[in-house]
Amino acid sequence: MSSRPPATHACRPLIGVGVGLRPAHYEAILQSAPRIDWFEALTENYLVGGGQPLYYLDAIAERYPVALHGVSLSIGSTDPLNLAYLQDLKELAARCHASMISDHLCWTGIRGINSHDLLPLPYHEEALQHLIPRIRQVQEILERPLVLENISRYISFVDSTFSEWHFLSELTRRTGCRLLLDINNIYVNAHNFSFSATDFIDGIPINAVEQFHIAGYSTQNALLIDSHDQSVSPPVFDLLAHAINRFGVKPVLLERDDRIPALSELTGELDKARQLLSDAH
Amino acid sequence: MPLRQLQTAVQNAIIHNDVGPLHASHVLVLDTASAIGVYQQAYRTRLRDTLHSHYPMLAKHLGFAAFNQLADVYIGRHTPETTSLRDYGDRLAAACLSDLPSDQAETVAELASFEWKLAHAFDALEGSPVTVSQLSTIEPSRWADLRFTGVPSLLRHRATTPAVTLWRQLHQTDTDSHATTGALSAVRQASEHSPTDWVISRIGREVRFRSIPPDESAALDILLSGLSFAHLCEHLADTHHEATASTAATWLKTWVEAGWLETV
Repeated sequence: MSSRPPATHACRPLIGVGVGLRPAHYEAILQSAPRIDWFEALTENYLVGGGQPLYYLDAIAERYPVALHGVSLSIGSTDPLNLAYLQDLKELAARCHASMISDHLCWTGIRGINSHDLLPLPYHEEALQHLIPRIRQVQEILERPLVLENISRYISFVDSTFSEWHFLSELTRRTGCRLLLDINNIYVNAHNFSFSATDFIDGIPINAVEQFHIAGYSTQNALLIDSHDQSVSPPVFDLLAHAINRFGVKPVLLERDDRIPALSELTGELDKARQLLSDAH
Repeated sequence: MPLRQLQTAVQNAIIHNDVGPLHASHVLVLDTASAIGVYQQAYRTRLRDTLHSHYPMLAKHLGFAAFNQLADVYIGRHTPETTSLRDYGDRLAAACLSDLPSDQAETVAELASFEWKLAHAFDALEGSPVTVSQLSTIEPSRWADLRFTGVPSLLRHRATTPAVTLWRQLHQTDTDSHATTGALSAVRQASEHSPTDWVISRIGREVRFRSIPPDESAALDILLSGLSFAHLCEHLADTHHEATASTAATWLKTWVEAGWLETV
């Protein structure tokens, strides 16, 4: 990664409604300064030497608070932690004054392979015992709490002894890590595995949550797929309202990864999320 | 099932379609094949999309179906191993040589190789290119031992086919249809093409490339290999005789103005 002069702004808190930073929006953000409260950058897109990605990240981080959201920490993998990746992540977070560093409660591969998918873990004590020292090590390296997101999943293991929300709660209690609740993922998993989405939310400790994600899903046969290629559905907004009611006002992030529209076309969803936060004040 | 064993079984099912161990152990709640199928499809689609984004002109040239066929073979042979997908696809040029019809394989492989180098330059380290004004402050006594290296985005490309011409033609056309007439024409001329040396680099955010004549290319290689400016002059004395100093100075100024060099 190339060096840059010390920034003149400090790390700023995430407040309000943010949008996932995507290359398709780079120029529009710089030219029109849209009314978006903060941006979430996909960590791996910016772990590069230089060029356009870092140019735009630097420029946008000068104007907006930025959170880093990774997909390759692979905290649940039975391979060793990738310490070089963590060091690069720490440097990137310092560079853009990341207000938050998050990744997913998942594994992405073993034996040196990275599937670049967010694969689920069984929810049992062995998995907890595997995760706890790894989360602690990551937090020591990053010198801040790790924020973990609940993933969407399409497989579930028969030897799980915890519910997903009980498992997440235990992790936060035993490691001090924080949670990023992806409301769409809760909705998708609740549909696919026939549990109550509100039971999930109500089972998470009130003070464990740092942020909410919302996104759209698609359908594939009988399954809901967390595709991030649609607008946020009304039931997911309803669930977000339920989560805000339980956890209080937290930053909300609108994700879109496919069929990405112009920023102006996201206004309706952003306004709706803002209204939910405003109603809770 | 122990966690390591479970992860091995899931990974093998997704990447190698080896669902036997998962199915036999009854570890999944849903039907094994349909549940794993979601991940298998996502894995393949993600890697196809990655290859497409790294090789847009190659994909345009081959067309959607042929490119996907090439990509699927590649995905079957090569698993991603790094934290970023920007590194995935580095061996696609070799796959073109081995998997495409022989009448176009060489040109298409070189198109892939060229496009991969452009992608490298896109987000390579910034580097600290030396400027003409910096060179002008160097004491005359230090010039003989002066050494340079290329900026991190600098890459050489020796074209033995008209692949760069093909890339330009494809880049200038809007169509996504299979191989434009001009592009095909360029491929047919492959046997008539004389080797050309290209230099790829990034200035600011813009990736650029340009060809250089063989004698200039050989001279540039001398500096990029770590040899001193004195070595460059010795080489030019053999080839350019009385114009040694002026040629060396002219070329060095050109390379420095292009932002290609850093001092060591």
